[in-house]
Parts: sequence; C-alpha cells; structure tokens
Amino acid sequence: MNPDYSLLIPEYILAVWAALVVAVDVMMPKLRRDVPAYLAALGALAAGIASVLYIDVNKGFEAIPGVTIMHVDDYTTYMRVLLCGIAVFILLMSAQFVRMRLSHAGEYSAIVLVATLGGMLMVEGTELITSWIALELLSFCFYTLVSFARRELRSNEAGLKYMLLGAFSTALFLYGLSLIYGVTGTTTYDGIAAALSNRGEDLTLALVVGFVFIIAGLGFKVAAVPFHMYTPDAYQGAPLPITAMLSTTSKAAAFALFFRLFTTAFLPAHEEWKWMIALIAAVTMMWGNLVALQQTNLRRLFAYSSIGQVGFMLIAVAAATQDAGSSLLFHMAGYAVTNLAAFTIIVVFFNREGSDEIADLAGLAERQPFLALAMVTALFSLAGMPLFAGFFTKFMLFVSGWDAGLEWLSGVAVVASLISLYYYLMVIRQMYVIAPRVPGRFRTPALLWGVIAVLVVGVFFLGIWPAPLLDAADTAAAFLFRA
Amino acid sequence: MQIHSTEQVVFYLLAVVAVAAALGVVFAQDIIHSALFLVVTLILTAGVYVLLSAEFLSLVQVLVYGGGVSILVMFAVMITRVRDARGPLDGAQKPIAIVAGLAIVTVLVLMISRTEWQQAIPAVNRPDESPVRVQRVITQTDKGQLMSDTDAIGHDLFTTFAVPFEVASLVLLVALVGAIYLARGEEDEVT
Amino acid sequence: MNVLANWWDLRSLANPVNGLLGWLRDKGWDEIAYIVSGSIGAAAIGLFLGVAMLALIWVERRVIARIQIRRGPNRVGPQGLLQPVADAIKLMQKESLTPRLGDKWVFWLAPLLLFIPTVLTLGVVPFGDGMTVADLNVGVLFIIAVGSVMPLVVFMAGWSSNNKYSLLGAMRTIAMVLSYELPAVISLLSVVVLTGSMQLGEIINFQKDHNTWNVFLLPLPFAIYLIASLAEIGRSPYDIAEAESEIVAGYHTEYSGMKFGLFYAVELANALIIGGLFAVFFFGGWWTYYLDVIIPSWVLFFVKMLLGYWLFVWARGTVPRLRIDQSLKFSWQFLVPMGLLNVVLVAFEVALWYQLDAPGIILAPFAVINWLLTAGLIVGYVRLLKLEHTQTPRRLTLTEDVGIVTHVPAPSAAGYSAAGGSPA
Repeated sequence: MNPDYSLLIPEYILAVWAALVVAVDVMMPKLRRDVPAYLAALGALAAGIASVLYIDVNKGFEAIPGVTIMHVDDYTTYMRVLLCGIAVFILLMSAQFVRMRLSHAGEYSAIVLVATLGGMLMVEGTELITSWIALELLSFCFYTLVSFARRELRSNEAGLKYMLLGAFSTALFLYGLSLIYGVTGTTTYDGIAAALSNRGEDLTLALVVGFVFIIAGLGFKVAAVPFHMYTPDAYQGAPLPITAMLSTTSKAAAFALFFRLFTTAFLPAHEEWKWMIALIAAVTMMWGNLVALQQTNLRRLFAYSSIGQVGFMLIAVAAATQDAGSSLLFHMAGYAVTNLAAFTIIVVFFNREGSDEIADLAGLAERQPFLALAMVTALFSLAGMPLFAGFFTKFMLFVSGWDAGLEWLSGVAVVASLISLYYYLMVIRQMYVIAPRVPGRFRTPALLWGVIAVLVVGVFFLGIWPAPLLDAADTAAAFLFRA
Repeated sequence: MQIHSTEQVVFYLLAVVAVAAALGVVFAQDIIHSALFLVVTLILTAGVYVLLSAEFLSLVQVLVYGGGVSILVMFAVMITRVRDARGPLDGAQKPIAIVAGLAIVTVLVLMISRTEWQQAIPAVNRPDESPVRVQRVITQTDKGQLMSDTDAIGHDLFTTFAVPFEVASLVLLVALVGAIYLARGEEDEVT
Repeated sequence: MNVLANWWDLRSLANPVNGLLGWLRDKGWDEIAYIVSGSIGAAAIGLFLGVAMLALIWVERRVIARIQIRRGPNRVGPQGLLQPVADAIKLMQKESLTPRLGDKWVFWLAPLLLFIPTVLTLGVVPFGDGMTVADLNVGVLFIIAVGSVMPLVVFMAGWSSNNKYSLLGAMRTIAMVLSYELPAVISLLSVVVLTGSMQLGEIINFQKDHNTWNVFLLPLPFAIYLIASLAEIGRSPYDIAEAESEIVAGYHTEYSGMKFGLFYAVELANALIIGGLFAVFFFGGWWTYYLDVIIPSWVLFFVKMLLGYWLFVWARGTVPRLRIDQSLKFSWQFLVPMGLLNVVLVAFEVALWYQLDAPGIILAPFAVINWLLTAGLIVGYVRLLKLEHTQTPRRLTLTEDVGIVTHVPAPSAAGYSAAGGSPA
C-alpha cells in the first residue's frame, strides 16, 4: 500500500523552492544580493498557503498500516502556517541585512527554507525516528546559519558553541529515545502510549531515566535553564535575523514536538515526568528573567527574555491538558509576532548604526519615533501588559497551569512576569528619557516599515480580539486529545 | 551472572575490551592514542552487532566509524597542533565530575539490571506487514530461511521510513553546503 | 558420510574439507567443526599468501624489468627464482630501527595491523566452486568496510614516525583513499543492484545463470573500479603516497627490516586481491563459459586473478605518476558523477526487468545500451568539462599560476632565445 504522499505538499514546495533559490543564485551571479531572500519569502508564502488547504484534514501518513510516522491534523496545520509565516518575515527582514553584511545570499535563504521544512516535519512527526531526524534537520540548518557571518569571530564562536552543545543534546535525546524504545518495543507515538498504559511496575526506573534524557535533550533545543548556556552567545553571535529565527522557529518547532510527544506518547506516564518539567519551568522563568536584569546588550537581553518565555511555555507541557495545549499554541503565535516585531526593529537599527547595545538606543524616540513606538509595543507585549498580545496569551497559559493543579507554578510565573517588566521598562527608558548620543533623525526603509507596521498591528489584534486565533488554537489542540 | 553459551563468552570478551578501550580514550595522555582507543571501542561495538545477527549494521559501523569518523578525527588532530594538546585536560571540577559520573553509572546500571526489556518477538509468529516488523532482530521469510538484516533494513528504509530516509539526505545536503561554505577560501568575499 | 569421498577430484579442493566437516557434524561436534573449518581456512589463506608473495615479488620484478628493457633479478637460483627468498632473509637480518622521538607503540602496531584487512578480505574471496572460507551474505560490504580501515593504519604509520615525509605520505594516502573509495563503492553498487545480492557467491551465480560476465553489462563500473582500486591500494600511477622523488618513501620512510617487508608484502597482496575481486565482480569468478567443467574452477580463478594482477604490474611499468591534485580532481569531477549516473541507469534497467518479468535475454539489449551510453557519457562529459589532454603545454602554466612568470610568449620558430632576450 502506498502512503498518501499528497499530505506533504507544503514540504515539497519548500524543498524544491530551496533548490530553486540556490540554482537562481548560482546561475545569475549578477543578481542583487537581496533578491534570493525575497524569492525565498515567496516560497515560504506558497508553502503557507498550501498548508492552509489542510484545515480539517485528519490523516496519518503510513507506509505500512499501523505505523503512522506522520500525522496531518489541525495541530500540524496551525504550526505549519505559523512556521511559514515566521519564515516569510525572517526572510523579509534578512534581505537588506544579507545584502549589507553576508555573502552567499542564495545558500542563506535556502537554508532558512530548509530549516522551516525541518520545523514542519518536527510538528507532524508521530514516530520517534521521524521526529528525531526532523529535529536534526532543523539543528543542522541552525548550526550553519548561526555561523553564517564567518568573518566575525563572535559568529564563529556562537556557531561552535551551538553545534557542540547541540550535538551533545542530540546524543542525550537519542539515548532517551532508545530507552523508551527498549521499554515499549515500538517507536510510534500510539504504540508507546499503548505500551505505557499497560506497563508493569518494574519499568519505572528505565522510564524515568528515559524521560530525564529526553527532557534534557529537548531542553537544550528550547533553551530551558540548566541547558541554556549556549543561548546568550548564540543569540549575540548569530546574524541578527537568525537570532530572530532562533527565538521563533526553533522554539515553536521544538515546543510543538515536545508537546506532541509528551501529550500523545507519554501521557499515560504523566505522573512520572510532570514534576520534572514543572521544576525546570520554575527554574527557567526565574533564572531567565533575573539574569536578564543585568544585560547591557540588546541581543543578550532578548536571549534571557526568551529563556524566561520558555519557562512560561513549559507550564503548558507540564500541565498537558487540552486547555494547556491551546494556550501554548496561542502563546507561541503571540510570542512569534511580538518577537519578530522586536527583531525587525533591531535589524533596522543595526543596519543603520551597526550596534546592538542597549545604551546606543538612547533617544531613539527623537531620532526615529516610529521605531521607538513599535519597540514599546513589542516590549509591553513581551512583558504581558493588557491590550497587547502578550497579556492574553500569558494569562491563558497561567490559567491552564492553575487548572491542571500546578497552582504554585502559575504563582511563580506571575512573579517572574513582574520581574521581566523591569528590564523591558529599562529599554523603554533608554529610548524615551535619555538624550540621544548621536543627533539626527533617520528613516526606516519602506519595506521594513511595512513589515513592522503589520507585526505591530498583529500584536494589537491578538491583544484586543484574540477570539479567532484562540478558536483555531483550541481546535488544533483538540486533535492531540481526541483519543 | 551465569554463562550459558559461546555467544555470551564472546560478548563479555568484547564488552570488557570495549570498556577498557573506552577508559583508554579518557585517560590516555596523548590525543592520538585517545583517538585510536576510540576506534577500538567502536569496532568492538561492531562485534556486538554481529552477535545480535545484525551483520549489515556491524559492517556499516566499521565502515563509518573505522573508515570515516576516525580518519576525520585524525585529520582534525593533525591540523590542530597536536603537541600543544598533551597533558591532562581536567581542572578544578575533577572531584565533582567523578561524583557525578559515578552517580550516573550507578543509576544506569541499576536501570539496566532492574528493567525487563522488550524481547524481540519470535519471527515466525509475526505477520509480514505489521507494526512489529520494526522491532525485528532476525526475520524469517515464509520459506523458513533466515532473512538477512540487510533485506530487513532495506525493506524498512524504503517502505515505512522512506520519508525520514529522504529527510536524512536533506540533513546531509545542508551539512555539506554549510561545511563547504564555512570552510572554503575567501577569494570571492566582498569586504 | 564418507570422509574421503571424491577427495581425488581436483576440480574442487573443498571436497575433503567438506567431508571432514560433515563427519564432525554427524558426530554432533558442531563447535569442533566450527573451529576446524576456521583453522583450515586460516591455514589455507596463510599458505596461499606466503607462496603468492614469494612468487609475485619475482613476477613483478621480472615483468617490470622486461618493460624497462632490463633483465631483472637472475642470479639467485634458476632465472632468479630464489631472489625473493634471499630478499626475505636479508630483510629479517636487518636491524629494525625505531625513531627515538616517534610514538613507539603506534610505530610497532601499524605494520602488524596493516595485515589484518588484507587477510580478512581473503576470507570472503571465492577461490573456486565451494572454496570460500566464509561466503558472507554481506560480502561486498565486508570488503569495503574492512578495506576502509586501511588508511587509518597508514596514518598510524605515518604519524608515529615523527617525520615530515612520513606524515605527508600518510596525508596523501588518506586524501587519496577517501576520494577514491567513493567511486569504488558506487561502481560496486551497480554490480550489487544488477545481481541483487551482496554475496560474492551469488554474484558469481548470477553471471553463471545468465551466461554472461558482468563486464559485458557494466563496462563503466568496470573501468571506474579498475581506476579506483588502483588508487586505493596506492599502486602507480597512483603511488603518490610513496613518491620517492618527492617525499622519500612516504609513510614507511622510517621503517626498516621486516617491518618494511610487511608493508611491501601487503601492497603486493592487496594488488593480488583486487585482481581476484575483478574476477568475481566482472569476469564470472571461477565460472568461465563451461570451461570449468574441464579445468578445475580454482585454476580458472587463479588465472583471472593473476591476469588482473598483471594489469597492475603493466600499469606500474608504463604509466607515469599523477600529481595529487590531478588525481583527486579526476575522482571527484569525473569518476563520481559517472558512477552515479551509471547506478541510476542500472537501477532503471533492473526495475524494468522485474516489472516486465522478462527472461534473461533482456540483458543483451541492456548490454548494448550500456556500452553505447558509456561511450556517449565519457565523450559528452569530457566535452562538457572542456577537458583537453595536455601532452604539449602551450604555456608554462605552473609558473604562471604561482606568479613568477607573468607572461611567456609562445615559442615561435625562432625559439626561446629570441623571445626571452634581455630588455633593451
């Protein structure tokens, strides 16, 4: 029996388009170096549109009946569209940056597309080997992308650290998977769930060790706290749009995998891993937000802020209920939009000034009021102020944690959220209160102005009228718990 | 621990030497010796695969690790200056590392000995096209003769795991592009 | 079962061995039978290697001498036949030096380890009908895997000598083997796809069943494997790892006495084995169009093996050594793409064959197609790459590339003296 290959059309589009972009770049050496990025953005858009066609499809991809290695459902569709959207914005903000600072624009854009492809496969994988190889695809793309500015020592350092720790975490993850396979005798999520629900008592230790390794491996990928050491360096060293991508695509895909794996395959053993993830979540959000207080570099600040956000998102994984799922998906979308807005602003500023220190933002409100205003929007959203996207998404997350019996964790999250407000306000103070060091206004390029405007509108939209997206997230999450 | 068969004798022989070589990797003062010990460990692992009737896997292990990875390690060692890397590389964290290592070993040994692992289902009782095909160690064809693991791996790779297999080629492609981009000369760079 | 049944039948030397083993199994001593068969195989391989070494050294030196219009060794024994023995005795007497600053352990281990892949490979070679020590079902992969460990040993030798020439030789070997392993594997992949088995015995049976030699069906893999295996075992024209005019003797510069002898012996043995593998993969192994009914199959195999070996000696005597960059470029730009194209082609043919459920005669049109495509591919690809043969350089490329000579006028009829005259 042949599997339904038509389920993977968005993936085909991305793969073929990536090859196309490289080919165009090779065949036309005279091409301006921002063209491949725009071309690739078109591809990501096409893949996103193709993904939309799969709304309400609920079908497994199985070559042999019973071995479902991938599953296309609303959860997949939601994440596919989100990842493609992120890729479009990343590529748009990359175009000018690449033209100014990087060589080999074709390869760069193609690898961004392939990374998105890897993320999509991570989302839909329902079999350990498939999910793992997809995770590897994403990781390899990022190893390359992070060190793409190969003339900058910082980028090299970031790439090296990211790759070494990434390889190490992959080994941990794989060892955990092999333990689970040894205990359950199958690699499909359904099979694992079935095996776990009628296991004997003697399996507990192996299961717990397996979970520890898997959580450690995934913890590296999402940058949860004991495993976050590479994050600030990687964020600071990577080319700026790639930093944005690290904080969005990588996190969204890894969390999608995390959540699907733990709520479909490992749900019968919920008691075994709940406390681990809850503990990591608490440590992550406190640590990330506290260390962020001391940062002077904008990118390192965002690195620690993203670590804090990871802590919030881990609440949903620990809770592992349908509400938690929908709030996780919703928060991921809100976080992606907000972070993309913030990073587009930083890209504009960096293209212009070549600096990403917080101190250099001084007086941005005078020099470029639009950027400053957009930045304030993004930061308020990240901090979780009402009216902005972040408030509602975080609120949903905390409530779902509370409902799932993790009251203390939601309490910690509120405290951490309050702490985060402080350092976001410090950035705003820098922009609005301190006088500019360099006088003179500057303009935002039209395209990036448009991108920022769209994203800011998105932040407000999600904050004021969240119902449509929340409904979508709820439908998507329902698919994981349909059994 | 009781010894029942020749296979077990061979296994313990392989295992002891492999672990000894692994210790050699860690404790050797000379990085080249470490690398050579690593090769020994990896090739003995291939021997364990043979005991599991996974000849294909064992030979791939020899090919990839004995012939590929070890050579890369050697190249890397040779290109970085070997003479500077002599001497122990451990620091003040040594006691902590020892404690942590011993703890992990204890937990793993406990886990391995306590757990009742899944056994391979006898091949005869297994339908040809079923989910449990994946967990085969040795498969029998309906003629009753042993199906080699080469056939089994080939079958699985091109039916059940066709898509991951293709994704693996994408991974390699990205790694290749990235490696070439990062490593090649800079004559075309615009400063 | 009669232990001595058909022991006199020279067509298969395996008869007495099989008889003995069958007798042991009948007695229920399975493990003893296992050990005995292993010992007999090992003894046979050892004997074969010893005899072949001594003979081949003589053959090689005499043939090379004839090619170079010399006489070669002819003093020790009739026609110099005992020369290899004398050489061996000399090597054993020599002092075995160890570099003081070298890595003693690795230095000692390398020549010993180098022998292991060679002997292991011989274990799967079918010397005749039923005369294989172990006909593994992953035989082809076994040969590739075992052979792939060789560069590591070479590296050990080169590195432990603590000598720049040794290290350079080792680096060159590794670069060569890495580059040429790929085309070799790809060409063998064509064979495996066509015959549908990785078992050497099955590959021979395929050729027997279809009354053909693979070389008729797969000309391109044959050519690629010939070149690639030549490079892998580092014989000329690919002996750049030990190019005496550039890096003394490469990785075995520091070795003396019997340790050097081992390197030398392994080189010869590898050449011989590759000759045997040629026979198996492309020339029907011991099967030779019904000749094997009259002539013992192992004789046929040895003849083919030696012919393959002779090809190598011939190449050594006549082809000049390549530069390292030329040879690497040739592998990556020419052999690898050609081999890949061929694998695709063969895979299509085999798929067609299975789909149509056609009789074996369909191989005949395939053979014609393959030969035509091979010719077309080679010509077309050479055109595409704009490769020209550079027998007569039109300009001093090397010096120009280095930047010493920026402009050299073409040699005219008047000669260089006029063109290169002092600037006035």
